Amino acid sequence: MATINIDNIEEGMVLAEDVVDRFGNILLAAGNSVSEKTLRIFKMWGVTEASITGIAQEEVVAKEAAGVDPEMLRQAEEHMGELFHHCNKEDAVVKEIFRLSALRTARKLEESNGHPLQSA
Amino acid sequence: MATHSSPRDLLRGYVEVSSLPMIHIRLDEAINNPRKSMADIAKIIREDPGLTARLLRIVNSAFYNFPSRVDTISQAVTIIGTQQLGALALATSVMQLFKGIPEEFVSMDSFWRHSVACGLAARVIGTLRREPNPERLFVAGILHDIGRLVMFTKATDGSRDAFVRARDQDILLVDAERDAVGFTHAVVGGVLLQTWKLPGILEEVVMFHHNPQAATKFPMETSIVHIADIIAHAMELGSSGEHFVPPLNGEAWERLGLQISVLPSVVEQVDRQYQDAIHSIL
Repeated sequence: MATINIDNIEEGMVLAEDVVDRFGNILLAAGNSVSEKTLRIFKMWGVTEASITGIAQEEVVAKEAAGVDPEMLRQAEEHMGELFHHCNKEDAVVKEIFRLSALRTARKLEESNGHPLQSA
Repeated sequence: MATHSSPRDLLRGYVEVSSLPMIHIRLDEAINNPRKSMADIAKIIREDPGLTARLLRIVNSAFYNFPSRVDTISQAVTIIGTQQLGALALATSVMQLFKGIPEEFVSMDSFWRHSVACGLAARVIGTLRREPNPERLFVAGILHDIGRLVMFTKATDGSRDAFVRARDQDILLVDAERDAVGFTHAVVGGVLLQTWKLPGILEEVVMFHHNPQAATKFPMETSIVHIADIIAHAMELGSSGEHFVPPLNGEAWERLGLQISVLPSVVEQVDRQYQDAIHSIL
């Protein structure tokens, strides 16, 4: 089971948990597979993620990281590690902001062919 | 150079920013006066051609993404509302106020870039939470570090010392300020907004953006800007002089009631709006 961002959910994936709207109404119950139509409804109701069966969380994270050069990602993570020096890196929110920033920086490094980043 | 024992002392010697431009005060009065119409408000804005041009640039940027061009202030008032336009006018007025002040430790351009990034993130989070006035969060984000601009453009021995300490000892600038100056940029900013007689919400958000648990009247807005500041730092858009990402307050995040999975979309929206926002505002 893995929690997947709505943008990465594909048709045919099977829900591990009910998807509910902000008021707790069930939009699609656990066990059902996601269709193009239900995806559209999820987005309309502001759903940002869903729990999907048959896939591990590590796979999801790895898939996203697979799009970038591992060496660039390593450099970006090292740089972010320094910037996040005063943050609690075990905190789930900090972890996600760290992961997103590192990915983003790695992509920018790729675009600049590994040249040091100019501050934006 | 003289040392300052309180934020108020520090501000006393700073005539350039001692008061807000008159147009803003009149605008604020008109917006909060139920007898004034949208046309009255548009008329006040039009008296300042610079402000008019800046507002139209913002309204026509990716920030709003309106399907057709907004050509006049009257249209802008109708489409985005008087409160919202007033908030944007305030943001640009404050930036104009600091123009041309010599910069010692932070570049003005870089400083405002960080501020705008924080404002954008706060606005995106506010929209996700369906907050009634996301533009006010945008302004709060833009103003959050204003105290630092005061401390580091008119650098006293204390603020110079804070800057050097933070750099040499790898500590947070906000902690170094407390040690070397006796108070932080957050307090200086809060007091500045108080002397400008801006709405209490802005004062509280600015005053407590590093310790949101201390906000009593506007804890939600303060928490939003606290998180937005962290995101702006992590995205390395501009710089307020602080090298590190500030520590996250778990309670502030809890208060937002948002799932972690909204974060990719927040970062993406800030990235998408950033360049356009910078060009239309700075």
